[in-house]
Amino acid sequence: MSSAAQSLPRRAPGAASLAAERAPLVVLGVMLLGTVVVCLCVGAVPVAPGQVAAVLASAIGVELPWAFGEREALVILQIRAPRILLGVLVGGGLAVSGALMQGLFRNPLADPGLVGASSGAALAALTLLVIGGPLVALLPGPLAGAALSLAAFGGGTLAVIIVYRFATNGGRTSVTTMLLSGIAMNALAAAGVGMLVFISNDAQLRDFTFWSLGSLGGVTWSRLGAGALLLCLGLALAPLLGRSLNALLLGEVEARHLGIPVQRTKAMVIFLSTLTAGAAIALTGIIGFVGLVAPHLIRLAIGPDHRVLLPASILLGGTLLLSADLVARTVASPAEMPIGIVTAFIGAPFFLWLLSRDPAGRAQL
Amino acid sequence: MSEAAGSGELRAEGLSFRIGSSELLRDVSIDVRPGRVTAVLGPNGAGKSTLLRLLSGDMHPSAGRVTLDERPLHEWKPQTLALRRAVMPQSSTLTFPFTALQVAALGRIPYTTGLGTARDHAVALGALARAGADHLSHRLYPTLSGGERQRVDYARALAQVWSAEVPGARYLLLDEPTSSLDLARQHELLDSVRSFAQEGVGVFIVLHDLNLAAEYADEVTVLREGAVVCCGPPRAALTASLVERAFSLRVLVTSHPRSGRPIIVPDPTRDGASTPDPGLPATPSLM
Repeated sequence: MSSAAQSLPRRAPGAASLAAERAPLVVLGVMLLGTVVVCLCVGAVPVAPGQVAAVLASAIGVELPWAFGEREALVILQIRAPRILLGVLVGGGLAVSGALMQGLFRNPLADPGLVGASSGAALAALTLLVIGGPLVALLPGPLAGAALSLAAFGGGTLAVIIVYRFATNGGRTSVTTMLLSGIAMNALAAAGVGMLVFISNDAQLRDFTFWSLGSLGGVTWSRLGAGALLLCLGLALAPLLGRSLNALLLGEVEARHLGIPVQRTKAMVIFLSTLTAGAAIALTGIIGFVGLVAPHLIRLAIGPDHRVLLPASILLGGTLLLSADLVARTVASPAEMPIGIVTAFIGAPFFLWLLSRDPAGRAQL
Repeated sequence: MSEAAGSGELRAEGLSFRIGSSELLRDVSIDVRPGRVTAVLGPNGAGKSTLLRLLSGDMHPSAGRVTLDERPLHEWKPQTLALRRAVMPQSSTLTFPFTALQVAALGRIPYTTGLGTARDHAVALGALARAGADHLSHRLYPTLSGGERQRVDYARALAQVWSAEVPGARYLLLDEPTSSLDLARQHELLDSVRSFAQEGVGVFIVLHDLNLAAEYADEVTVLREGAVVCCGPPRAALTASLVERAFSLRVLVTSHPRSGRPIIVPDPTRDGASTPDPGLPATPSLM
């Protein structure tokens, strides 16, 4: 135990290690970019990378020396580009929402579904599908088209708000009570879903089943709309909570000793997690596994520092969802497989394999 | 050396703390002065940790007040307070796989906004070294033994008040920091606490071991059932009669042959009383 007054190690290895902290973000960014390029090129209409570049350049008025047809331009700009943007935003949103919840609950198994975001959305979506038809008929055109998204977003958000209110007493939120009331909320929503399934007809049931498996299909620029804006907002704000979440992992009292406004942090975490998960579900239906696995993969690879974990989860979540969507839309082409099937079918065995090798021994913890 | 003389203190005046009908603390006053190690001693349930939680601002006293630089603790912004005092809890609930170095660097949170700076990194390394835990820096915290974790927790607290970066004295509140350490490590850690105090930091430390307190503390306060039994320098406060009153245990107090500090050993054979009854009130007549 050195007792030399404030002496620091002479050659501070700080700079090298700081570069190491940021390196994963660069690697993940490049991975995401690569996946985006592949997704732009591959599909029912194959487009060469040079043509993709030329199409994108021409969209902003720059001529590149690769020839492309009307068809390629349409496929890239009107079909693949919005779909890829949706994939990046939803994948990033699901992943960051999982990372936030795992940090808040100090449990690597948590996800927004734990506090009712998915089950609330499912109940509201099914309610609309089964008994909401007459109501939708009354809505003006654009609103009717977005009715399922709005219902899902509203249902998920409402469920989390109810759970949050139950767990908050005298201005302080108990995370344990949130978990317990989340379980009750999920049970209640599941009962509601069961009830509606019981009275639904085959077509409604089929619609709901496909919705609950998720899909990025059929998206257009105009349908991205408000949901995409909400996701962008959530993705931009969530990484700012990294420092506070690191402190919260020590415990609430310890975080307060470190000067962290604990209650405000908890409220922000729940708000942003619900916002991102809610908007993601509203846009694509329920896509499982990404929210759980993306942050977990990051922790296995580079540890739990939330200042890196949150942005890294966004990048990896986007990459994973785009890759899954690539499989979903090519494996049974021209038909499209629900993406939830792909995320689980590929994601789960991969995750198990990763757990079994686990070089740093982190999964054992 | 001491930047602290005259720059205020962390002071508790007439603290009482009640939960329902049980009174955990009763009219306790204590001064934690910059450059000094103030230890609080007492049997289980005497209110030591309660006192620490009131001094750190975790809980508000039912009566009395805690002030830092003569300003009530609750008027300080948590962010400002975090630059002035660090708290080491009895045990940590951290289960996420941070390395020991990352845990120590968490002590720098009050100073950073984005990713850590090179200085934060260097401070975390320096704090680990002073806690005798630099060899653990790349180990994962949840895989460490209890004693190893304790040293890393201590390093985190050191890193938080590593140097005077804002005006005013710094304070370190430690809740039984040696409870899981072996004999040599206990002395190493308290030696480091004392040298830190000599740099002008005010240290408040909850201890169980009377001899460690006698050896390292400048002031001791002994609690029993929420009230102060005695306080003062170890030599004055740790007399046989006062220790017997606080702990209901017959003891023999001698002095260290070299430092002259008191050494307290149990002396259960005297008077044939081998199992002292903690329910008994003070037994000064035995002196």
